Amino acid sequence: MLRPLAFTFGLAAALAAGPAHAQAPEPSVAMYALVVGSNTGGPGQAALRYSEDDAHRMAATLTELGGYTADAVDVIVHPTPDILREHLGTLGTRVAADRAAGRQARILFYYSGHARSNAIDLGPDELGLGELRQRLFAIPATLTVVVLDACQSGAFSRIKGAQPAADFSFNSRQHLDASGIAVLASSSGSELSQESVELRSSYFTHHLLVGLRGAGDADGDGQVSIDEAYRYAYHQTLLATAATAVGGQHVSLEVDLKGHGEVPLSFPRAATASIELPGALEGQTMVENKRARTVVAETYKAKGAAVRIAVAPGDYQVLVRHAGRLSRCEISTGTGVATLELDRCTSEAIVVAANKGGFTEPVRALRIELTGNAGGERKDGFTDTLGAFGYKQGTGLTAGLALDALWRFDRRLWFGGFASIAGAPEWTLPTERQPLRFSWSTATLGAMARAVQPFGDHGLASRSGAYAELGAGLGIGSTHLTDQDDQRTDERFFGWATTMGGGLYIEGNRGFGFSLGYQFDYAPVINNLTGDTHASGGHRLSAGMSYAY
Amino acid sequence: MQFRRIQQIRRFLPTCIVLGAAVSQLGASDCDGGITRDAGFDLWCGDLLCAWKLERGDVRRVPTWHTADSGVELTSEGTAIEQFTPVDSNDGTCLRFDLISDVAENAQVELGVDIYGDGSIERSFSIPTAHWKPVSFAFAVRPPFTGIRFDIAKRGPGHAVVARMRAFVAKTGCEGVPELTGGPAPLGALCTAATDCASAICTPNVFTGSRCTGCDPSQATCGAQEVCGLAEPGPAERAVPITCVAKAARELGEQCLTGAECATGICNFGVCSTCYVDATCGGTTCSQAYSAGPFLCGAGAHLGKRGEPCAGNDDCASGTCSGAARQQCLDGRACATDANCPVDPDLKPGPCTTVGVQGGSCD
Repeated sequence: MLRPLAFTFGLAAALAAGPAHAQAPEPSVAMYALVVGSNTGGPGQAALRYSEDDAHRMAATLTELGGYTADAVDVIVHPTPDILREHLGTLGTRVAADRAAGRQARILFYYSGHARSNAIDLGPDELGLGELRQRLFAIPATLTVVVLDACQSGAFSRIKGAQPAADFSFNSRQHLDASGIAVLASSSGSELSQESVELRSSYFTHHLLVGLRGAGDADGDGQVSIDEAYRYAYHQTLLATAATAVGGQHVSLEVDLKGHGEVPLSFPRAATASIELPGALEGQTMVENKRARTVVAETYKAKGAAVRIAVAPGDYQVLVRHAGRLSRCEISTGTGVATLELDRCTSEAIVVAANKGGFTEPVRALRIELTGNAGGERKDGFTDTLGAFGYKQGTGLTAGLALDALWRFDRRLWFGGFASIAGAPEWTLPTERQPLRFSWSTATLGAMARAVQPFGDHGLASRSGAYAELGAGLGIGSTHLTDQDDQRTDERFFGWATTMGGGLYIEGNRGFGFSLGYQFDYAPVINNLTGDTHASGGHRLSAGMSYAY
Repeated sequence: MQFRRIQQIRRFLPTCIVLGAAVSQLGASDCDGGITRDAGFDLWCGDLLCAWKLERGDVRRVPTWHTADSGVELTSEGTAIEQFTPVDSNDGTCLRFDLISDVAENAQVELGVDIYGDGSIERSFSIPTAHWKPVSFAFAVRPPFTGIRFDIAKRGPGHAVVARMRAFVAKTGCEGVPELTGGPAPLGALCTAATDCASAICTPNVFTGSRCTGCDPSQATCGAQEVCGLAEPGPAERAVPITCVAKAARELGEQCLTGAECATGICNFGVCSTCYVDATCGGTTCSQAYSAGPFLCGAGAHLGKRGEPCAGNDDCASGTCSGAARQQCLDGRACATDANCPVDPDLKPGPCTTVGVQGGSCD
């Protein structure tokens, strides 16, 4: 059930006049938020990882800093179109009641998930953008703010026919009003929206939330307007995505507002606690909640004006990277403003870049490995038959090579494929002419998954750790028997094969790495005429080298 | 005096040399103790096994565990294959054989052991019905013995394939196993006492070990026109038998025990020759015509006049030595084929080669 929090919108406008006025609003405007997240993609779409988490974070920020009460923020995750329609209907009913009671109403609709150019994808079903727009705009709100974090989300406003803003240079002060419609979209009508493994969020929502926490308060008035939030999110998202494989992502703002005045989205100055980054601070700055081990804010702090980041009371670590050095600052917040004291920060040269926290160090998401292995060959009925016929195994071990290609799905999880080949020692049987010589090799093509556990979060410890892997695929066995007349007979067999193993790895800061481990191969592929099947493989020691990029 | 002493030594040497050469070849096991050839049935001469003799029936080459590793199928009912191995009690008395077989229930396969290869099976081992299961049997043979024939025979119509039949001298495994006895030993076989021999004569020899003989060379036990000497060679695994033979009947180039067997009256290094030493050759040398061959004055020097004895064309001034071709094994025994000769370290018999002319005279 939505319960409106009313406050004086006029006061919000007054707050815009200066930092001293960013105080608790007066209840005369009903405020509601409908926050939607959906990880599940439609047909042919990969599941997203952070949309539903982003929805919860957005709801928390609105509650903490946006002036919404918790019960005025309706969070739904993984909804069907009918459920979304139902919540939109409930929202419309509440707003209509407020309007009937003579109160103005402001609604914020946030959606994070998959979308196409004409619909948002809610699992296997979709809701047309036209219908969504129609249902939203049918709600008799005084002001409707739509925030869309989805691919091609810029297409939402095209339907409406609003005038698009001209990139970040758009000066919305001249056009904003306290009533009407504003659409903030994570990408243009033809772009893809991207998620970041490091940020554990979409680029857009992360930077929008950081902006709302105070980093976007360009004029220092203690509140972040939709214009300021847009400018901040536009810059930071474009910077963060410029180096990705997909390419730069352009946040868009399109408006259809009447009247004059800013539309505030958050009031960081009114937050219970905040961290102030002093004016002298300069560099890429990350604020991390030490207890939750989550990145609260990550921004580039320019030298000059101080910046306040609204946070929950607690212990934080602030990392500042500038001019080849990394400064670590510990700070605790209670109520009020805690100012970062640069003199109490430790500073170190950046020898090995850390990937965590969204620093500009590129994430090495692909890894190529070449591994050698050796071990005894498994004994089974097949080898017993060889022995019964008088063959004797030569000295030496089964030795092989494997080439792996892995894609980083998560910090601790990799998927990929592998190709390997291993040759077993030769078995011989003396005769009056040439000895009979029998040998075999097994090639395997398959898919694999690898779980890794780094030894730490920073430096060398973050690039070394333990791993465990499991793979399966097609096994191809090739046997060669050379008879007493030196005639060679080759045979080939096909079947399934699997491999599993674990070990330790270490990776240098240029992407080259080494590993040492154990693996167990099993490929029941090779048959003989007496009905035995040999499961090639056995216990192996492996050593490999890798390159990640 | 010196000449007479040399002559005595020369008279004694032939027996030593002949039997010494024999001991180097008699008895047989390979480096791993194996005593049969082609244990894997790998050697095929057309549709027949090269090293195994088909006694009766039909055999066929068939795959075993692999298409290129073959065994032998005893196809028709009553099929039997055999191989005589020259193993003797000097090699060992505990023998074992291993084989792997695929025998159907309606077939019976037996492996027979025939000591001396005289046709009497001393022991049969039944090869159990199985699908490619290895079997192993050990048996002991009471020494002395010389030569064993292995016989693999099938009864019944069923499918029977054998492979990897390896017999070898074992160091252990015969403890408590009753010894097989081959019966009275034939001439040329090993013996330890006269009772071992069918001839009731066991002649001791420091080089070869005692052998059954038909007469005692040290005693005049033969008839008036006979002498105790070398008979025609018997089976290759045995020494050339010693028995009473006709006096002065051996031609130039034939093996002998004493000069009394030779037409020339001279037995030099176990071969009927024309000289012992250079002094009897009137200025030419007394030398051997070929390896394990006779000694002749001026051998190989093209000096022989018409009608003079020769062992090869090079001995004659005319370049032609007439007579029967001399075929012999490496140990000097006469032969017609490789099978008449003792085996080499790989258990291959032979070779039997033509070395010259027996009892020849120059044209």
